[in-house]
Amino acid sequence: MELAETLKKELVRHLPLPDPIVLTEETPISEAIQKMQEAGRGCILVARDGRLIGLVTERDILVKYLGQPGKTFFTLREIMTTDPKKLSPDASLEKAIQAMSEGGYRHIPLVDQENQICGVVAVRNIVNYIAEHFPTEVFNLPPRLEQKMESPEGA
Amino acid sequence: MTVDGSAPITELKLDRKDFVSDQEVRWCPGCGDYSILAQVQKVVPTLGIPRENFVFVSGIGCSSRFPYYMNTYGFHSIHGRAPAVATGVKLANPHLSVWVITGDGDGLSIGGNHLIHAIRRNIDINIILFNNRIYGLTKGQYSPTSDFGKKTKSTPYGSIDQPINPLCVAIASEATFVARSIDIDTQHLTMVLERAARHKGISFVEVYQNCNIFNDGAFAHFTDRQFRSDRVLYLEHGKPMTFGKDLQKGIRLNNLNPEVVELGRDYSPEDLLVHDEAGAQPTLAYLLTRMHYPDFPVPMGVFRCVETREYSDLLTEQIEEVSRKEGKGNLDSLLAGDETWVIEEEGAILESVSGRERPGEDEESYHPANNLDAHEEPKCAIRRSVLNDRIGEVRPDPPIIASPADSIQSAIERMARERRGAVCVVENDELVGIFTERDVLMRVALKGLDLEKTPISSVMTSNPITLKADATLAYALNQMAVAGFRHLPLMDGKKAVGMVSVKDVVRYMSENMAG
Repeated sequence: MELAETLKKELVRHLPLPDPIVLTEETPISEAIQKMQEAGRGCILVARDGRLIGLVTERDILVKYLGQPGKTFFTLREIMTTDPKKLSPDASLEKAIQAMSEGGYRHIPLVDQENQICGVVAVRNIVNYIAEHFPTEVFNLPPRLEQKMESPEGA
Repeated sequence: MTVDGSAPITELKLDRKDFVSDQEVRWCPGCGDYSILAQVQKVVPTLGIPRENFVFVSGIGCSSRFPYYMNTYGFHSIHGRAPAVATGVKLANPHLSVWVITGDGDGLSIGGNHLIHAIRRNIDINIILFNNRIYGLTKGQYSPTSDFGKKTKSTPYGSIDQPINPLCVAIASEATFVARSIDIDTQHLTMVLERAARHKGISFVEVYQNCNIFNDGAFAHFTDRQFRSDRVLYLEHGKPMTFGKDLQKGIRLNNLNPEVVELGRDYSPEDLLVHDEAGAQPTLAYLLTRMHYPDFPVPMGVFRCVETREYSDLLTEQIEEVSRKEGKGNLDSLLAGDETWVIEEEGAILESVSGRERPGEDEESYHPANNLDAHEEPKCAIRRSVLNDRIGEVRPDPPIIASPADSIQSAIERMARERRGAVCVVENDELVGIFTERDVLMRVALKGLDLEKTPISSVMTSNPITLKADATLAYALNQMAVAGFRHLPLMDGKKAVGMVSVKDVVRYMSENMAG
């Protein structure tokens, strides 16, 4: 099957997605940053009663929290993007890719019909998925790319 | 192997690049060894072990060139004898993190005996066995793991040998850590390698590795991304064994035989076998090693992980105890002891060895089964794009240029204002570093830095990985998927002329999807 076809059929929830970090809007920004640093993650979902109300990414930390030295922010409510772009976990990868490239998003929360949080898909998950279809060409490369052998050498 | 606390572990700022050596990597293009190398180079910096405490020991074979490519200590040792050399290294200095890199030929054929003895001693080393089920270095003869019926150079009518199952051998030798992964399943491989590294005692990891020249596609029928979820069983300790895209299938035990069942009407997850890597008996692990495609999904992950006494600890204790009781030993008195004698007669004269045969004349018999250049033009648009399109065509934005002395604050403000995720740090027209929003999150936020006064040079990534305009998309994807970079400077000589972001690559591919 062509990859383009596969991307139409494969569902976002089939990707190996890590559990999202979910916090409330009252959470202090410093606590959220700590959580992001510990988990090495660029995105936090903001929820009220398990329902998605906002999204905070490392971009928000940079642009709003650190990028405006005159201003002081305290909680996630003040820097989160309210009503962010969302997808159903049953959305196709193609749909996720389109949404990401049209809106320039790197993270899209996944919610069900009741707006309950199911996860978050990152552009990195998509790139990994695509890369896995070309293992020989993408993964099996030397550590320094200029070293690539042009012909079989044997070791 | 354990993470040893011998040296005070201050924050070791090691990353993958620190473990990349300056040697030219001489594996065939497309070899699965590259992917395993990349994952090992990714895992070792995370272990908190100083670089000088790593030793990679290999025998002979394609995979055994591995130590050259690791920027650590290493031995390219004798055929099949890497476990013996590694045992010596570990006993001489138990603080070292010792890794054996071997293959199915080196480890199971000529080195089979050394392998089982290193395993049964439970010495704290990591044995990574690259299994490609063929002799690659000698150009395509069958190996101890080649399938029954496999046609190779040395089995032209099909192999009539039963293959060795490496994990069965490891379990029979009482290995305390036994795992399997796949070269191209990079996230899983990373997880398995890290767990192996952290296990105290012997760790044995079999990695299914594709030899794209002499045994191409040996594992593709279950490792290909499109089949993987239906044909691979990912083992997780304490979890029922489910598989399939929607985890709709499972493994049940019927008397002593595993069987595949569909969940739903007749079976629920409670009926399934639950993975237990720490059982008193290795029976379950052994049973799993016997599951093969197509009758079963192929199990991947940690089959067994138990703790028992480790060899170098036992030896150290024994030396201490005996020294305490009998005093410090003396080598000279041992050598001159009762058990020595002198041979009075002259020894026989060794016959000189001569007339060594000339190297075989049929060296031409080298027909790569699969020359990468000979691939026909790929039909799939995305595939064509990944393989052929040059990164220059992605047309990334021109970079934001900053100097190393610029303040963090000014860099952050420019990234915010110009809506960009990374800054190229340039000195005398040469790229010296890169500073990204990930660095802002991980190295700046809450770190108590004076953003107005601290220069970006103190938080940037020096000598970053870069791309040239003629690199293919596959190269960019490699750095993004393997090394996890999201921003790669595009270079013209030493000058940064663009900044390729992961978003650019996905956008470019999505445009191609339509076309």
